[in-house]
Amino acid sequence: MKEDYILEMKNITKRFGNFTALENMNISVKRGEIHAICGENGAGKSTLMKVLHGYYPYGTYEGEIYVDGQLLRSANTADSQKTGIAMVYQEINCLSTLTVSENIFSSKMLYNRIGLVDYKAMHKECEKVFQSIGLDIDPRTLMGKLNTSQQQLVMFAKAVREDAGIIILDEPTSSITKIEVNNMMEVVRKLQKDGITFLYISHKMDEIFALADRCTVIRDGKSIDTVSREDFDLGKIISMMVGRDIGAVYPKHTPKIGAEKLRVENLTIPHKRVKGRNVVDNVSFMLKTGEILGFAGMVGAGRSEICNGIYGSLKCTSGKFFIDGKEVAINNVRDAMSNGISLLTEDRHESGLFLQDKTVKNNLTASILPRLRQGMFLSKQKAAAASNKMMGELQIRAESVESRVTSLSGGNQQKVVLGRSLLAQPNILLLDEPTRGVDVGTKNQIYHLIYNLADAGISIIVISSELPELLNICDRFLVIAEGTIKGEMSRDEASEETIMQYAVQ
Amino acid sequence: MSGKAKNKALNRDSLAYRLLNFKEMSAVVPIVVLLIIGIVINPNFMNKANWWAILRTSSFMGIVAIPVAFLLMTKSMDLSVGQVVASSSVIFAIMCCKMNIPVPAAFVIIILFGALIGFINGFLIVDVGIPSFLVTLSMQFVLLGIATQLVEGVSVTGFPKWFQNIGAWKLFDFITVEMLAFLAVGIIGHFFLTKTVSGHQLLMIGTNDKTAELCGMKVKNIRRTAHILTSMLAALTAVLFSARTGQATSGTGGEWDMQLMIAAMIGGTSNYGGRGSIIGAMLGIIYMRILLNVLIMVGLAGDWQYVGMGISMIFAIVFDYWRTRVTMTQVR
Repeated sequence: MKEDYILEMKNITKRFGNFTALENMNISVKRGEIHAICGENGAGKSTLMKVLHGYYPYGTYEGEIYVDGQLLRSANTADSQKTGIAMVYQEINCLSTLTVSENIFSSKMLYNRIGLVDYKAMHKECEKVFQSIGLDIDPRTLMGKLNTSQQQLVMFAKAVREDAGIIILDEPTSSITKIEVNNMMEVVRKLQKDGITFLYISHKMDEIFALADRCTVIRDGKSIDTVSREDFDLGKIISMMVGRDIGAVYPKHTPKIGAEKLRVENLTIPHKRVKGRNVVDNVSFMLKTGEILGFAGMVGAGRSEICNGIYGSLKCTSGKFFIDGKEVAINNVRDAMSNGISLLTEDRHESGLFLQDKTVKNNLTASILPRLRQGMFLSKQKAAAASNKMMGELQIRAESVESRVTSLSGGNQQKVVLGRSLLAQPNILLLDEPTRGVDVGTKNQIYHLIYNLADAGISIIVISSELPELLNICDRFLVIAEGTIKGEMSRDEASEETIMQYAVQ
Repeated sequence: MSGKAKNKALNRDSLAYRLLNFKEMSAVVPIVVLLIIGIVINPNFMNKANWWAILRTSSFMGIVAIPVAFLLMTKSMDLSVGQVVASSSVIFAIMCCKMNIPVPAAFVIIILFGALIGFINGFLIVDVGIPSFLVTLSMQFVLLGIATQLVEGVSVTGFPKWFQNIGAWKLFDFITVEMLAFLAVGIIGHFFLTKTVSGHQLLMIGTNDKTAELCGMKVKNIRRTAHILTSMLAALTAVLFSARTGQATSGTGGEWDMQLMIAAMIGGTSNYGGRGSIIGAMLGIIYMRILLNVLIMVGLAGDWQYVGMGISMIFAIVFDYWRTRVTMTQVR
């Protein structure tokens, strides 16, 4: 029996100069299914979706795409949209200064009889669409006031209103919390029942297992295999993704925990704009030598703020810091650095990397420049030696330390930021989302690295929105919600359920 | 990059790539073109007197173009430099000629005046967080008002003889004080940018000040210092200018702001911050003076010069845009 395919991609090949991004890619998507596409960063997922969505027009790639049996000849993204393909990008690209309904109608506004924008009709229609997917948002609010998850759902609504038959979700959960993920999945399932087909791009296995009907694994620009739900197997899919057996995702580790290293007392950080509100409220805890302490909680619970407070990059109204039992003053980043504290920020584009024409070397050495002096001047040799050493240690894949950091893949960029923290030779390392947007292979390397650092006697705080990751790598947990510590538990006591209980209390 | 654009890939080792990869190339090429035009149309173009004039005027503007390039690299700008020059020369002249304050004392005062203006600019931009465009534009009007009000349209004269002698002094019958100052500021600036830790930090701050802050750099200090330095050097230029002309008017430096920024950009300094060259800024200002010289020789007098300058600047900038695209797409 011939299957009913809504979308077929046949022998898609896409080249950039000498570089082949996609090679003979074959993917068939059944009508009404949730089809996951998984692969490491740089495997070609994004390029594939851009081809499908018409960002790369017909003719700039080889091979054919059939939608409903019709050959797709998109000259631009608008053409693809007309054939019913909608895309919700990883970085939500909404117009944040406009209202929700203006965003929904951004491609074509509704007009009244004299040719002016008909806001009433737009709001009304918005509410109708929102109701149908179970969304409770006022169409008159400004898009910028919504959180990432809400913006994402609005983009879903936009796709639904434009009668999209296929919705592409590009890593939809990379910046939303666990509860929001569940919420989003429910909406996806609901829409699936209404007959919409989903292409779900992700490298988070638990989500794919929870949601997808079938899953296509791609690697190095080639489609490796498509697996049906019955045959889903974590180990198998991961080994298909990385092309080799990486062993356990989370390596085994026996902690060697020593005496108290850092003690924080009554840390309070005020809200930036709202007077009288604290994002971190009277937080006290301690961290031992060689310990990996996990901060669990929702996005916006105040976890990053605590780390930034310790690092001196957020002003606190109260708070005492003790390192090795002695009180130290941390008023700015330089104080923290000279006390052996180092921070890996959660957003590597916003506050982690120097992009533009800056090289791997520039990025690696940025925080230790004063140490690389030779007399009055900066020593090129010292800088090159330091960055080469770190590049080797972290196995950063780049042509040389002089390569531009923008030419690196996400995982390697993350290693560069991590490398910069390590070059500062910290005793206390604060890792805010160390594996965000990083593929499975690199994650594994980062876990190994964290263990090695802990074994070397470095005290580490890890923040991660991926609970399984946190549960597996940390020795002790603090659950943080609304800027306070709601609970503390050891590795044995902790489980997803117990942590969530504290977090949503 | 659009999908349709044909990407003529240049080999990284090729001579063309290496030549184009110099930031200063966008100033060198137009200069060479101008030199050829100049030599062809006028046999007197290459003579010593002409070049002395070109280099001398370049030097006055160039002393300020260098800190302006630094400002652009930190993603800031200063639209008040021209009026700092104007107001400083007027105030300096009044102190020396009318109030009989000894020149060295007046010199110190005027440099401090420059530092104060720079500090106010820097404080409002860096600490208060007002966009540099608004702050320095407002400052431009404040200083414009002061300068014109103080002299009321006439020029101030009466500097001591020895002071004017400094302006007339020549080494090897060619090199003047302002040329030496230009060269000194340029050399210090170049080595600061390319060799020192602070120079590197300045470029990093221009690329991403948030990250720079988290890397423990003194972001506010460096940005504020750049503003103070710019106004101080503008005041210095004003003094040198007075020494040369023996008088001061409120018109000195009037249209410099934009020209200095464009000179820096032609020399490969990015107006998006984080990238730049001091040698390029120096060449950029020299280019603009040669251009004016050639335009006069062609017979474009008066206001037509502006048209010629504008068009040729567009060419220089388009060349820089093309050059960056050819050399930058290599990484992909």
